[in-house]
Order: sequence, then C-alpha cells, then structure tokens
Amino acid sequence: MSLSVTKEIIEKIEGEAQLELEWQNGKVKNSKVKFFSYRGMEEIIQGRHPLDALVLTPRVCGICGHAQLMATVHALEDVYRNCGIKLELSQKAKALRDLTLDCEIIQNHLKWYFFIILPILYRFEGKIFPKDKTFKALNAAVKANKIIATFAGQWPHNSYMIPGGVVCDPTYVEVYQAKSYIDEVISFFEEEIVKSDIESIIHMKNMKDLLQNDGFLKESIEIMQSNDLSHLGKSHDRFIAFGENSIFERGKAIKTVAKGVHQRYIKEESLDFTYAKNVTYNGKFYEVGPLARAMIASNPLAKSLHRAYKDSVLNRIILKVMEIAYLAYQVRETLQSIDISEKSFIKPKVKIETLESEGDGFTEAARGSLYHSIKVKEGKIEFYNIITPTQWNLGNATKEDELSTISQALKGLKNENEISLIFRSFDECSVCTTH
Amino acid sequence: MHKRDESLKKIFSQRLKKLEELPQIDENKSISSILDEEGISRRDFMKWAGAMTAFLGLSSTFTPTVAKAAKLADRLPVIWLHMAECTGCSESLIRTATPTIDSLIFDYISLDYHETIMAAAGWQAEENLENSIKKYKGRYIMMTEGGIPTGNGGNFLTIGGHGKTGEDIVRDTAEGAAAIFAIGTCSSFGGIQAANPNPTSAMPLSKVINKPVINVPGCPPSAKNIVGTLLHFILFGTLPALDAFNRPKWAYGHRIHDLCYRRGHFDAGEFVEQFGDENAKNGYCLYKVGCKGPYTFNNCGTQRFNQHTSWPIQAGHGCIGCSEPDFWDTMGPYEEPVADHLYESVFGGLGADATADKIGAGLLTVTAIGIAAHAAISTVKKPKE
Repeated sequence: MSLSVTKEIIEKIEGEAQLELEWQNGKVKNSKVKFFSYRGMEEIIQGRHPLDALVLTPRVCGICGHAQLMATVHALEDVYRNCGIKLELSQKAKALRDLTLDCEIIQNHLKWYFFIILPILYRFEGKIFPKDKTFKALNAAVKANKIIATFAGQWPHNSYMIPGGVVCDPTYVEVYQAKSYIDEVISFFEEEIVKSDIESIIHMKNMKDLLQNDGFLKESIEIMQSNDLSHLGKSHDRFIAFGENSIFERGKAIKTVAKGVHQRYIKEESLDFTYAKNVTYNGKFYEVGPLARAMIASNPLAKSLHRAYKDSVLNRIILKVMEIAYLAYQVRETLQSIDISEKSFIKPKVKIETLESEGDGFTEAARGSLYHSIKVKEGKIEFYNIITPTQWNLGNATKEDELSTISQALKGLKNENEISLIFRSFDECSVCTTH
Repeated sequence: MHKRDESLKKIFSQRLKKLEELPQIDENKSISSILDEEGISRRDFMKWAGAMTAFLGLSSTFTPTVAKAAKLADRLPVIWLHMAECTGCSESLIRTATPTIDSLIFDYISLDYHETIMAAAGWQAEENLENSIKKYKGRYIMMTEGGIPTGNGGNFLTIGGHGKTGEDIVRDTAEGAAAIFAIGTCSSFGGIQAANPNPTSAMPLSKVINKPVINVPGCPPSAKNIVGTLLHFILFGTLPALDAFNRPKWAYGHRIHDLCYRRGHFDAGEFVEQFGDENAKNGYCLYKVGCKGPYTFNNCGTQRFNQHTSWPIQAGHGCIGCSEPDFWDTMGPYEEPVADHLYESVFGGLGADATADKIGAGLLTVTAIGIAAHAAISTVKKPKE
C-alpha cells in the first residue's frame, strides 16, 4: 500500500489553483483543491448604495460578469418582491436580458472547447490542434460578444440591467445586426462542430445521431472512446440548478428529477487551507453546469447518454458543446420574435433606498448556478453573499465518507493527461470562486 | 507645425534604426511574414497604420513611419502578468480569426508569458517566465493586469509552485523591464479590490515598485489604448506625455463629456429623466441618470468597444467613470448625478474645481456649475408617462 502525495499547479482557469493529489497503487485516491488568491468583494460591496451592486459584481469575473449582473438584478428585484411590491418587466426586457446572457454562455463554451479541451484531446493522439481552427472559433465567440455589446454597450462589464428592465432602446437595426451575428455563430457550429443543420442538431436524441455527422464533436467522442476515456470522471451523479433563464429549469436530479429546490438548504463553509468556500445542498456535494442543466431539463440526448455513461467526462463534454447549439438557436428565435415597441424599463413605484429586506438572485452562468443574496437597510447594502458555480464543483471533502464533486471525479485516474482532461471538463474559474 | 514634424521625424528614425539593429525574437517569423500568412494585404495594413497615426495625434506624413514601427514591434518581447484581477482586460483584447491588426501584432509580441492564453502550464510556465526575464533583460515590456494585494505579507495572492507573492513577482519582473505598463484600472489605481474597506490592502502597481509606470486604465480598457500605448513606446522610446495620473494624454486627454455624441443634448438642456422615457428613446443626455462623463478622462466615445460596436452611453447607461482613480468610492451611486452630492465631499475634499492636470481630481470648473444649471432648467420639463 504505497501512498504518496503530489502537488500540481493548474493554470489558465482565469487564475490558478493548486491540486494536491493523494496516490495509491498508481491511482488517485483523494484530492484537495486550493486557491491562493483573494480580493474581498463581499466586504467591499457592503455599506454601498443597493444599485451599486450592479456595477460591482460583474467585476468579480471578466468572463462571466454578465451572469453576475443578472444575478444581482434578480436579487434586487427579489428585495422588492419580499416587500410586497410587484415589479413589472416587459417581455422585451426579459428577452433581451436572457439573450445577452445566452451569448455570454455561448462565447465561454466556445473558448473552453477550442482553447482547452480539443487541444488536450488531440494530445492523446499525439497531435497538435490546428491554430486556424482556434482562431475561427474565437471569431465566432467574438461575434457572440458583439451581440451583447450591441444591446448592452460593451462586453466585458456593462450595466444595462436595472430593477425594472434594461436601459437600452434598440431599434430593428440593432436587432438585425444581432441576428446576422448569431447566424455566424450558428454557421460556425454547423461547419465545424457538427456538420449538419441546426434544426437537426438540436433534435439529436442519442449517440447514434451524434456520430452520423462529421465535425469536432464526433472526433472528440471517437478520441475519448479509443483512448478508454469515456467512462472516466464519474462523480456522484447528482445534479442541481437554481437559475431559470432561457432554456434552463430549476431543480435537482439524482436518479430522478425533482423540481423543488430551495436555497435554505444551501450551506457554505470556510476552510483553512484555501480561499474558496465549500458549498453543499442538504449536506451533500452536487454538480452544476451544462450537464446538470440538461439532466434537470430532461433533455432526451442527455438521458440517452446517461444510461450508458452516467456522469462521465464524455457526457460532460458532449452536453456542454451541445449547449452552444441549443442556446444559439434560442437566441435566434428570441431575436425573431422580439417586439421592440414594448417598454424597456418600467420604473418601480418605490425607491429601493426606502426598502428594508432581503433578496435572493439566481441565474445560470456559463459554468453553472450562480447565487447572490442581499440584505438592504436604510439605503445601504447590509450584507451581500456570492456563491459561484465553481464553488459547487470544486469543493473539498470535510467528512470521511464523502468526497467532493471533483475529488470523486478524479478518483481512480492514472496519469497527468487524464487528470488534466477530467479537471478541465468542469471548466473552472478561479477568480470567481475566491472573489 | 512643420518644424515639430521635422524634429519628431528625426527622433523616430533614430529610434527605429536602433530597434532594427536588435535581433528578432523569433528568427523564423517577422510581423511581415505573419501578416502575409494571415492574408492581410499591404493595403489593409497601410490603412490601419493611417488610422493609428491619426489616433496617436500625428500628422498623416507619419503613416509610413508608424507602419514601420508597427512591424518592428517584433523586436520587443512582452511579459504580461496577472495580479488581483478578473481577467476582463485580457478578455477585452481577445483576438479574432480575421485578426484586427492590433491584436495580431500583439499576439506575436505577447510571447513567453501570459497566464490566461499561453500554451505552457505548470512548472514549465514558471520556468518560461524566469527564462524570459533573464534572456531579454533590459529589453522586455512588462504589462500587468490586476491590483497588487499587500496585506497579510502579500499572501492574499501567491502564484506558481514556489508560492511567490504577487508583490514579489512584480518587483522582480520590474527590475529588468524596459518599460512598465499598468493595464486596466486595477493595476493603474488599485481597482475594485482596493475599494473601501480594501480587505487585502490592494495597491496600484506604481505604489509597489519604484520605477516609472504608465497607466492605461479603464474597466475594461479599450484594446486600442493598449496597443497604441505600446506603439507609442516603440516610436518615442520614452514615456509619452502623461497626465497627473500617468495616463497617456493622447488617449486620456479628453473627457468622455468632450467626445460624447450626445453632448449637443447636454448643451441644449435635453436630459433623460428616467430610463425608458421618451427622452431616452431620443438619445438625450444621461447626466441626470448618473452619467459621470464630465468627470472622466478617456476616449470610449470615439474608440468604443468590441470592434467599434458600441459603448455604455450608446446603450443608454451613463458613464461610471471607470478610468478614474478610486471611482468605486467616488463615482457612486451610479444612477445618480454627482451634482446631488456636496461638492466639497468629492475627491477627498478637493471639491469640483480641480482638473486632472492641476491636482489630479478630474472635475470641471465652470462646466460643473453649468451642469447643475442645465439640470435645473430641465426640471421644469416633466417626463412623459
């Protein structure tokens, strides 16, 4: 029984983390993830005007700042709700908010897939991933960002959502511009990732459908299968999602899907060896992210793949890539049906400075559920807490009997390449997690 | 004007001659060969050079010189460090498949170390950093994104297998740097983590090292400002004209207010009273819903963001003053005008009557009163329901 411990630095996760691995008989037995940077955002937000949170929280992260903005505006609107004040939001405002957030998710997944995952997979085959394809993907991601900039002013970091709606007043010129950009994203997916048309792609139901068309997705699946990776990276097979935007539903899935989740069962815990806090639901570790979202929404493809592969790295990657298609299609649909004659912003009847209450805001960020909770009193923020998706996925076990989501997924792996793939399939963000 | 051009031309050609004599970073590639590879025609490149020349405030006769300088950018290695940040600055600069030429050139010279996008990882990456610093000592450009946490012995930020603090990394890297740029508001002024109560004692780069630092602030900063600053260094070989906050005057010399396309509405007293009203639809001035344009120095209105797509005011939200020091503490609340605050309490008691050049507070003099007057005039106009 030989036990040894190695430490790895994992970089390029919007920051870095230290991965401490416990090895036994050539396989990973347990692991700890440690983050060594901290900024103190929750303390900084305290004491300020409630609406200032809209400007502050996006700066927690440069790649998912738009999701932070969405979570904040939801938390603020929840404050109104808890005071018995009903806020009206026009369909147009909701649609714009959703579609810009969808675009942030799309551009994130594209970068993750083409900058990180495909190069790792190619390495298993001893090949180097072609640079021109990376740039082409980047171009598609940039187009998705342009959609956000068209309505919100810029990306990263814009402030176009406020309680009651959005501040922009687009004309059809902006809508058509955005449509041409999303068409480019969809074309990219159809040309490079799954060589088919988007309508067929979003209706694919099983592995057979996926393997019928060439493209990077088929190539990824074949690399994983021929290198015996398809069944690696399984975790607790427990999924959770709190945000309800666009195509996402709220709930949890353990063997079956349950829709009732409540934030009172979320518990955050500080540890002494890392700046990131653990988060559990009912005392247990869950997975968040695209795979979780697909399982909870009872996506037919996810369910079919789950029968054979459970929550392995294969499924995690497939459903994250497919989420690009689902969201791009949804964005196009939304743009086609948006009614710009509706109001952008409906002013709340009462000023937020006069309220004293709490609010919870949820949204689905690129990497999973994002949760903001706020307490306002006498025109100031009394308390603000942020729980990010990577906190869910990258916790550290505190009890003997259960490993964290990531530790369970890494258990049994044999070498650096496998570890790298499984670790990065969760798509971590270190700056968010430590905030 | 002519005489000035003459002397500038002399400075440039001397400088460029010096640069030409330095060896290329990568023997097999030059910027010219990369441009050819990517299919950028000479004509496109000269068009870009023309735009950059105007951008830098030079007369058009300098276009060939700027073009040559841009191509010589391959002689200057760049080391990009990440400190306490959100990586938004790097995200802002991201390249495209038909790369904008700025990003292409930057891509080439951003050689050995960039934590988010470099190919190396782990121990190899840290080795690369140490090797680059040694190999290009005295020649490399150091660019930093993020504030430097100094609390707790600097241990709120450690990087790499040796657990070196961010503070030590910037100090060590600064020693051999030919020029040091602080990219983004975090590195320039401390940024959001330095906002009250500054739990990690985050500092601007310039407070942690004692070499001159050029600040290129903004949250995020415009990609053009970043590349333009680099180009400026190549041409002049020294620090460009800087304002009291060490920001290049060619980019930060004007207020948002001065370059704003809605300025006409401000002057005519036409304001948005609340978001979504008729005035908002007409694109009126956003001063009364919190625009800090009059107090902010930057060129967002002309350069815009995301390949000239848009910028906050165009989208209907006022400027939040993100390229100004301590804007997190001084510019809030962001949807209310500064005029609603007591002037004396703004900018540490310096009041509204200082300019960026004088004592570093960025407010207007006469216009400050004028703003309040304008706002007062339009209060008689009721917003339409």
